[in-house]
Amino acid sequence: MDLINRYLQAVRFWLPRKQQDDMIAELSEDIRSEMEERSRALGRPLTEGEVEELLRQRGSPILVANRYLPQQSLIGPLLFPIYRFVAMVVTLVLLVPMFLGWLVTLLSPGFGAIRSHHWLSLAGLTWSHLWTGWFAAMGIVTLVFAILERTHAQQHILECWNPRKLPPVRHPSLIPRSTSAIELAVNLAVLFWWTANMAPPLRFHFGELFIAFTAQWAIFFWATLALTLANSVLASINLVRPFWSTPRITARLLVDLIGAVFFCWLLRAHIVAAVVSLTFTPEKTLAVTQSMNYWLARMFPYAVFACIAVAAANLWRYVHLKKKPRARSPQAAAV
Amino acid sequence: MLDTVQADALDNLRLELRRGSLVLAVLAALRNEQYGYTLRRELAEHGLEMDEGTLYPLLRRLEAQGLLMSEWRAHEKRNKRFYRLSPDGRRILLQLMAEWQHLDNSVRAIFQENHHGSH
Repeated sequence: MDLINRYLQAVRFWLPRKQQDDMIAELSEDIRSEMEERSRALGRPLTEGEVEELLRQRGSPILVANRYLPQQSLIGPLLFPIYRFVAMVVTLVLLVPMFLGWLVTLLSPGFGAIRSHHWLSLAGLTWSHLWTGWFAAMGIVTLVFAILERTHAQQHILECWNPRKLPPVRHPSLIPRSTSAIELAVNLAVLFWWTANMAPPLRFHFGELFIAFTAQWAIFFWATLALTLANSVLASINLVRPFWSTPRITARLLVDLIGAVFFCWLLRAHIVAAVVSLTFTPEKTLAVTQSMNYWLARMFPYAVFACIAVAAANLWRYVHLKKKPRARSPQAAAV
Repeated sequence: MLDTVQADALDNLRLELRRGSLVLAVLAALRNEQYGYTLRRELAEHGLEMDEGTLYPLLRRLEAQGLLMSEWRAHEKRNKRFYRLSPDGRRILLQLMAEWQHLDNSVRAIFQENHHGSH
């Protein structure tokens, strides 16, 4: 009997106060009825071990109590998909910039000093900030959704919709014509501006300041001109045929990669030949020129990182298109 | 032999199928007054095993919905809670039985039609 009372007491702890007595009385009666029946069948009272086994079969006190309670959840099944989506967006918004910042710091030339200190400490600090920020953000998001759940606001949210306001059918290979038109306009503008203002030999006058570039500028000039022209052609084709195809994705990938390589090369090519001013001494002219080339070179890791990001985006598009070779038109996708 | 995934899926589907049927069985059994333990035994004798953790919360829910009435009463030297169908419960039981028959007929018809169609 002591075991049963202890069991009932443990179940009672988890039950709502107002219904505890009623529920425990009923549970107690059920256990005793079962014991009586078993006892009758055996022709003797149950041993303590048999009572223990009987209670074990009924389940742990918290489980038994839980079955008496109404089903509760912090965020219910109606809101959960929205919660999961928001949580994913919050995680990405927090994680991606922090990860990028960490990577850029690792790649930057000034990291040498940090590296000598200890790169692990930087990683630890970044992760510590990340976790703190992430937990705080997720806590707020969870709290907001829990409040929505409690106030039954989800009914209102889920009922306020209009079929006409649903977004259009998305298709992975569709290129919006507006994007192609803007791309074409920008490339043509760059093409004219570049030809008119950046042709070699390149020299700039800013008041009394004169900046001259080395002969290597010609390589960059012609490469950029060719690439801008290629981009304009590609944008024109995309405007007429607004679906990515393997040749066009490959062409875009190549154009972007070649452009990235040239840009990275430019940063390290000591492209500034001289920065001259009437007020500069020859030593200062040399120092300013070296300083400009030095700062351009320092931007190299960031440029490499940006190039990797562009290449990755292109590759992702390529892989994505390759995965769905049959769904190349919105009609096919919609069906 | 069913693999674990299939066995789990079968268990879940069986549970879903049983859930509604158990309510019907409990309501039908309580046309005659009974207390929880004897009700469980009667259901088990008819092949519907139901643990107390499922039965008692269900009885409370049905009582809260006005389909059952309950009363604590002394029986065999102990206080027991007796349940029986309320007048509303009787009406609902009839409607649910009609629905059950309709579902049974529909599923049978669909099954037989497809069975013949496949030969």
